[in-house]
Amino acid sequence: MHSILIVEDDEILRRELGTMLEKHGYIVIASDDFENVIEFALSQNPHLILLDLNLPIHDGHYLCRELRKRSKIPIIVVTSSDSEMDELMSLNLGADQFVTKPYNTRILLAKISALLSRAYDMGASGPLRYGELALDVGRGTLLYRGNSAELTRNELRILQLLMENQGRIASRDDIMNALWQSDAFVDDNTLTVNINRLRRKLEALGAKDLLKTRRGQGYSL
Amino acid sequence: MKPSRFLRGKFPFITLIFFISAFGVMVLYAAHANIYFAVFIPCFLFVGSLLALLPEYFMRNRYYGNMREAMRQLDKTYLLSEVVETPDFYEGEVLYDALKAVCKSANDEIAKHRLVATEYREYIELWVHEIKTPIAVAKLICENTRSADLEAELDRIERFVEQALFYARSGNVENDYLIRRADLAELLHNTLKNGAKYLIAHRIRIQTKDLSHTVFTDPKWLSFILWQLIDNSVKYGCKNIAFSAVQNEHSVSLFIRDDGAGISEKDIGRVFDKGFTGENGRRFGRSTGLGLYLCRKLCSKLGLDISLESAPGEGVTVKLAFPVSEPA
Repeated sequence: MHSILIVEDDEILRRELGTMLEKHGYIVIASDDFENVIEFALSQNPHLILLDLNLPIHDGHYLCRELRKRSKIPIIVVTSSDSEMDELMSLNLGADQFVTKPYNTRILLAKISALLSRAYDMGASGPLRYGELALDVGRGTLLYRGNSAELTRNELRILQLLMENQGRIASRDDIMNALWQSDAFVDDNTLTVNINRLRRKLEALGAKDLLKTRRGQGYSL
Repeated sequence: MKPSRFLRGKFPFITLIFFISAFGVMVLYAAHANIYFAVFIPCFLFVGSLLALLPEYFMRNRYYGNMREAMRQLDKTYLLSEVVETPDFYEGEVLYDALKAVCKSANDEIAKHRLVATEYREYIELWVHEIKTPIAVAKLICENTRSADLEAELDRIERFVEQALFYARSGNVENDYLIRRADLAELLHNTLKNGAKYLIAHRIRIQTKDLSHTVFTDPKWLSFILWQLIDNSVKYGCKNIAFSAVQNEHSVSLFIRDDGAGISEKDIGRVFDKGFTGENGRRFGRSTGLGLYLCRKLCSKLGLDISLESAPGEGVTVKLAFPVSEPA
């Protein structure tokens, strides 16, 4: 479990961002004291900091520079300003990523997990698990009771999404969106084909009826 | 100033001198002066008076000539009074004072409106940045409560807000405008990813072909332009959008082809005009007449060439041409 510090002065945004991150398995730390952000950040020692630029008392650029002097914690600057200047300045002052509001939460999550795995070598975090099913995302292989199968990129993405949202239904639109976010601009037919292939691979491994169709809603494990 | 034009202006003076000279001849003749004498003296005075006009002619010719030349060279003629020298003859001074006064009042007025426009643009930019936080919050709430419909509407709001920002900026792009090397495929993919939910909800099929080209442009601006074009395709009922690119000698051309309603012949020449909605605007009722207008305006700032081909029922093909060499 990784902890993320949110430095954001908009209370509702802080709360909702926190809820969203907690849903995706992060521990969220936040504070509404903007006087001693640096001390607070250093004392909490989070794995990553989400930093807004427009803050009361000290602005984000200042905080970024001060934090960098004393710590190597990965910093993602999250701001509503989309000017090139702010981006350049943030990156020059030591921020690792720059995300503009209103952000695409998938992109934000992807940037967070990429940064975390780079900073803390999550490569060995092990496969995703669901019952006896194990998915090695890095290698693109699927394991079930000692049998293994290779997955194509799209199949991998679909199964990964379903396994990350275990028990919840993923709609066809959600799945297509996830595929689009990894540069595969699939249409309805391709999605159906991909799902059927994935299902056949699961059946070949002996995991029959694992991937369930929820009529009119989508798919789930 | 032509000499004939000058002389025409001096006609009353010349006539008067002529008659006085003629009168002189008659008076001298009546006084029984020598006939040669009676003719020669007035003629001598007449020619002398005409010659006295010469310095005046040269002075004016030089002054007004300079003024004409300055007017021709100036790109903003309301700055004329700044470059014209002070004349040393009376009518010139009157003209000069009038010119000064007119130019000053024009310049004041321009400065005032420029200030108003700049302040308004700054306000819009500030406002857009302010409103982005509540939109971000609302979208997160949707994400957390899984309200997809509401989120789709928020996406639309966000697009409109974005359009306002780019409209405000299209007047002067010096601000926030950075041409750099970019990969066309990556740019397009990012645009599609950002609009994924909208396109998926409308069941749009995307085809991409030969997009790996390097272009020199501002990614943010281009992404906005691309989205306006994609959104238009969706608005006018397309099911498929195909993207392809071709490398020419002096440019890279991106083609965006849809299979939507197309544009009728009488409308096609005017689709880039501000506020033009045309037949499709009446049929589909969601046109603002701003999208393509903004596209063309931004394209010209970025040095891109935008053109469009279409026939009713056959969809629209938009061509964006990127210059190949890095702009100086």
